Amino acid sequence: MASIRRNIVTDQAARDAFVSGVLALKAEFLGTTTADIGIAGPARQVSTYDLFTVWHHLAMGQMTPPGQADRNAAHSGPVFLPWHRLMLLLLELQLQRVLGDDEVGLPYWDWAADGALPSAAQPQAPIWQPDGIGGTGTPVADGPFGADRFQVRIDSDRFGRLRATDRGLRRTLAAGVRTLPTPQQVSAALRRPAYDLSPWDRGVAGFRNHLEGWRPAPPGLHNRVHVWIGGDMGPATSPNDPVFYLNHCNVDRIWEAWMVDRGRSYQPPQSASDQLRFHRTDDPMYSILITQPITPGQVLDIGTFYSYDQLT
Amino acid sequence: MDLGYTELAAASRPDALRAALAANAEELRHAADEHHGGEMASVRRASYQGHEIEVWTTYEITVDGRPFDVHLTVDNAGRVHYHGLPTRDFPSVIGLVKKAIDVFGDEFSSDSPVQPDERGPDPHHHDHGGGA
Repeated sequence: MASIRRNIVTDQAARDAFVSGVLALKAEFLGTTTADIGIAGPARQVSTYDLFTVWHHLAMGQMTPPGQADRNAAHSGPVFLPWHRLMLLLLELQLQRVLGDDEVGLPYWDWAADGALPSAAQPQAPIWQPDGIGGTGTPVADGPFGADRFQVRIDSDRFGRLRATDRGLRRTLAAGVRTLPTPQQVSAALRRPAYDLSPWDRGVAGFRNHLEGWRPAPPGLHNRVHVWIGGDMGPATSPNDPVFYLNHCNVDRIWEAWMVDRGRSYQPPQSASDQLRFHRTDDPMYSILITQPITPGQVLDIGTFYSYDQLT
Repeated sequence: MDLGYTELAAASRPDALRAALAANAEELRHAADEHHGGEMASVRRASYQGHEIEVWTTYEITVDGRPFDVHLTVDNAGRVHYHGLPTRDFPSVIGLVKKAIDVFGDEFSSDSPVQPDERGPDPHHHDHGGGA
């Protein structure tokens, strides 16, 4: 059943379903423990929601190729957009399962709309209100993910190692950078004619790199949203904050808009070097949560699963 | 091959999720390991007028006299990256360490336990020209 992904700020039902589903997945434990993922100390159950955080962290440590520290199995290279599309799709299917509704769609946060507001107004935008997803704080004190309802159980230390914890969610809105990306910056990215370019890293001027945020003036677009929110959105365990999915759903929406305009093309081809493993069009993407191999080429047309109520 | 809704929905059921986790058990056992990019040195490479340029950079960083021994990389534009904060880069290492203190403040407090990986300065680590 195809779902429709809607704007979390303007669609209360989409917001409520997202919140309910996230809280249900945080409360579901399928048997995996912290010992199973190499975390020292007493073994604790790991929730289904937190398994996605672990997956993201693992992908970020999977260098492609090994021996360099730029491109990994999910970032700083062509697969950035397909990999996160897969991650969001699998989370959306989990939301549908726990809510018993196969029409539930992940909502998106159109952060560029808030980026058009004066800088002082951006941290006060509707999404950060208690009837949105709560506001800033260490820990966040209000909204559905406030410390009385939502606990971070696994995070990473300054060396990038996972560890067990038990604390509230952290956000430091507008402390890392003062402003969100603007609609003009999104438009500039959409004008990039090439999806990605050799040598397929953080230095190239293609659409993927603009949308990821390494060019033209870092941190841009996706990266800037992580930095602007701060707190738990900073480290490789950033899916700890549910706003991670709202950010990436908007990134996916912008990618969809680019493909509607430019065609469902992807680079690099499978004939590219083995150094680009995980990034070529027919490479199985890195996953620990599904045994079925899924490639970037398979997720370019995703209409079977979902569509957006509105593209940019 | 097209992706099918029925197949992926089935793959998202708890039994299928458990099976996927079991199939990746060895990978998961190392999930908590430190993120490394391979060598501790950062290598920049460029070709220019038929010449191959390589710049190797390593850093020795201490905070309050305690080693902050993490893997930093420098890109060809001279900007520095750190796995602890993967969505940003920095024009200077000092700025990067300041931000790490902001984000991981508890770990830099004077009473935080010494980490097993807080190695002393390695005499083989030398800055070979760190451009940032």
